[in-house]
Amino acid sequence: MSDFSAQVFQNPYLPENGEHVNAVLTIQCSAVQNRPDPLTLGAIIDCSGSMGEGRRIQQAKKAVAALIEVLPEAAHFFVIAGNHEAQLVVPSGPATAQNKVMALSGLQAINATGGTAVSQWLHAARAQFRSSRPGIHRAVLLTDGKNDNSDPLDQVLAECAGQFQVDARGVGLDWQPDQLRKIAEKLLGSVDIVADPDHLQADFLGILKSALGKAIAEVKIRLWTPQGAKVEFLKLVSPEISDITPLARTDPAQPQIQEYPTGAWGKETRDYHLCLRVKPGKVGQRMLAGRVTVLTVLNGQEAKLAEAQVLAEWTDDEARSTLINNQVAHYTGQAQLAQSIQEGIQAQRNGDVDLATTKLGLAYKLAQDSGNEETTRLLKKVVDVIDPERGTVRLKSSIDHADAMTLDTRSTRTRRIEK
Amino acid sequence: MIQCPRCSASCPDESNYCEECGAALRQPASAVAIEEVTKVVSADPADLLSCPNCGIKLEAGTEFCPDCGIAPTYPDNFQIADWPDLVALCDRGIGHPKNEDAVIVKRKDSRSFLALSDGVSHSQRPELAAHRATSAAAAAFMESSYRLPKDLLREAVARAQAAVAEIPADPNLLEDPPCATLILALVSPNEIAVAWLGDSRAYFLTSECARLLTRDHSILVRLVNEAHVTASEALLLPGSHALTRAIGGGVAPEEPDIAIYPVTEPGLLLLCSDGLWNYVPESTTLYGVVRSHTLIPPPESDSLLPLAEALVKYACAQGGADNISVALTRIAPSNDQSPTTNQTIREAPSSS
Repeated sequence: MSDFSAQVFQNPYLPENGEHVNAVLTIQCSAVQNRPDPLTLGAIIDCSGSMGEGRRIQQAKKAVAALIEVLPEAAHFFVIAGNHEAQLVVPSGPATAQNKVMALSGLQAINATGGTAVSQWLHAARAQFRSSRPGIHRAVLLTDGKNDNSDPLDQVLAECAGQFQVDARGVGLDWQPDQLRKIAEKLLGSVDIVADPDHLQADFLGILKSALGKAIAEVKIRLWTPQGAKVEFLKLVSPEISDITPLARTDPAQPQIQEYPTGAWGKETRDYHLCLRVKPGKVGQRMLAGRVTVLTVLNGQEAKLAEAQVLAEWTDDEARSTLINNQVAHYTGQAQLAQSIQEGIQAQRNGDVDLATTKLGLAYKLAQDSGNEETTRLLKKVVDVIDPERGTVRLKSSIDHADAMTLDTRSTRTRRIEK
Repeated sequence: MIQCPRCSASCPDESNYCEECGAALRQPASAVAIEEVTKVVSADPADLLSCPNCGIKLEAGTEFCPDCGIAPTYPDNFQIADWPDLVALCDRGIGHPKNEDAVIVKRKDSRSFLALSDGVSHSQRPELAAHRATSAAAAAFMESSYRLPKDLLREAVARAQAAVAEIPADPNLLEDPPCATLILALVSPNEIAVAWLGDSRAYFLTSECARLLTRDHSILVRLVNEAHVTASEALLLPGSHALTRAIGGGVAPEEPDIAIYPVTEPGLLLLCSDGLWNYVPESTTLYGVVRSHTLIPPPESDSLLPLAEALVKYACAQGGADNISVALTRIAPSNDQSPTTNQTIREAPSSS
């Protein structure tokens, strides 16, 4: 049996008529079951015409080949090559020597041609996962370009949500971070840039390592809220920011209960920022503003892994109600940091130097103050710092496109602070 | 410096509560004499509790309303008087800002069950711990298939301990996890069985005297036993109210003391929290107070409720520094059944 704990960090005190309850929920898995749930890994690679540029398609094939080669025999896998349609290179099956050979020869036959319709690829991946054994369902999706405008991506993302996880990777510099971020967010995976195709192999092996580190296929957060309350948001905030609010599922018979998928878990710790709006109580009253239950499914039965309470208490003591819990403050800052970077880069792309400078200056100050060294380092590749105290910066005279995209893509990575 | 009305410790002028025993040092402006407190008559504490926000009835021991999430406030005063010869009364008193005691009485077949709990003030949600403890113990009495008093009481204590341990404790707070005393009595016509943890007490009163049936799990008893001071003297010593055993508190369940007494003469069983016995530390004083209100045993036609009220009023008149709860039942040994031994009730055994 796995060992989970859930802990809430918050200041429960609200002023008279106060209605917003903020809390950071830390879920930790400190031990996993002896027999991990089995892995099925899908490789989905872009083979649209643009992949023919440089060594992209060759390097992508090499990276997938390397991934397949090191797959343990206990794993299952499949490969999809995608352009304006999806081509099943190898169907889902065990990672036997024979199947690996078949996959490698299938890879060789792939040519770069056609357009980009990610929804087709995901649709095909969904079919493969549906015919796979139950367990950890995870895919790596590689693309180098912008998705076709007519592609019904949102609809397919909604169909796939909760069924498998996707780590989205952009190779080269012609793809859109927003699009990949959306895929990763809806499908509970990571997002990253691999500007240089030569680095694809290392990146894919990193994804495999992470996938093999998971042991529990499905963990859900069940949130009970009082009548009249509304979930403003529930966001994963560490290790990176991902808004899972839209993934909520509600049984109409139990409108006070929402369920959020969180994907597969290994030994790890994640932080979530929960914001609720409740009907204010009277001064002196206490309220259970939310009950968080961490669940999994064991042999077809729901099993409770951990539980925590989010409280509210109304007070006329301003010294109490104005305090902000330091975890809540920290992650509020990290979310603002990510947003400032994304808005700053967008402004820079649009040629709005003033707005870009203001946003990235604010981002620099937030990154610096919160000790987010990695983001600070990425920011310094895009701006020159004039006054580190005030966050006064100047855009570099010539910004390397790869640096700007890396900053944008990795803007959601957060730092943890001591509890 | 000001002096604590309960334990006489000297406390800094600015403090509101005694640092030794936790009693309130000032009388809150809202303090009212017991006569003015609205009474709720009920057979089941479940009926005492309703959500202050949406009005639905809540089970005793409820932490939050399952609909709107609001934490109910436990009543300042309530009584259970379904049977004239088996009653309970629980009152906030005067000095304490909240009522953190709970009491419940039940009857099934020929047996009566009395449960009383005093939430420890410096723990989290003490009133919740007290109500959960008494409700769980009473549920055990109503449901248990055990016949032997010892077994039934053990199970009732274990269920109370589990119910208190289930209350989520906030590790970030200075206060201890929820913690309370517990005393249970299982009464049949010829026998009283008591189980306890902490310093809530049971007395048996006959026409001649009052006898203490329990031995407090507190520093006070250690002082009396080991330092050879009288109970009245020990009460004045700082820290004498500290408990050596209790339920909850975030520690592993502790063993209750259990004592069984055969009843050979008619009398009155009294369970009470320290809100009462602080003002009657010697059994003779208690006997005098009860005797001044009624014959012992009281006439069969009389309800015991007036006596329960008289005891609460007495404690309030003496200062009412703490919550006061009492549970009373009349015991009349049946003549057709010969008692198992000739032994009459003596003071509590020195160890169990």
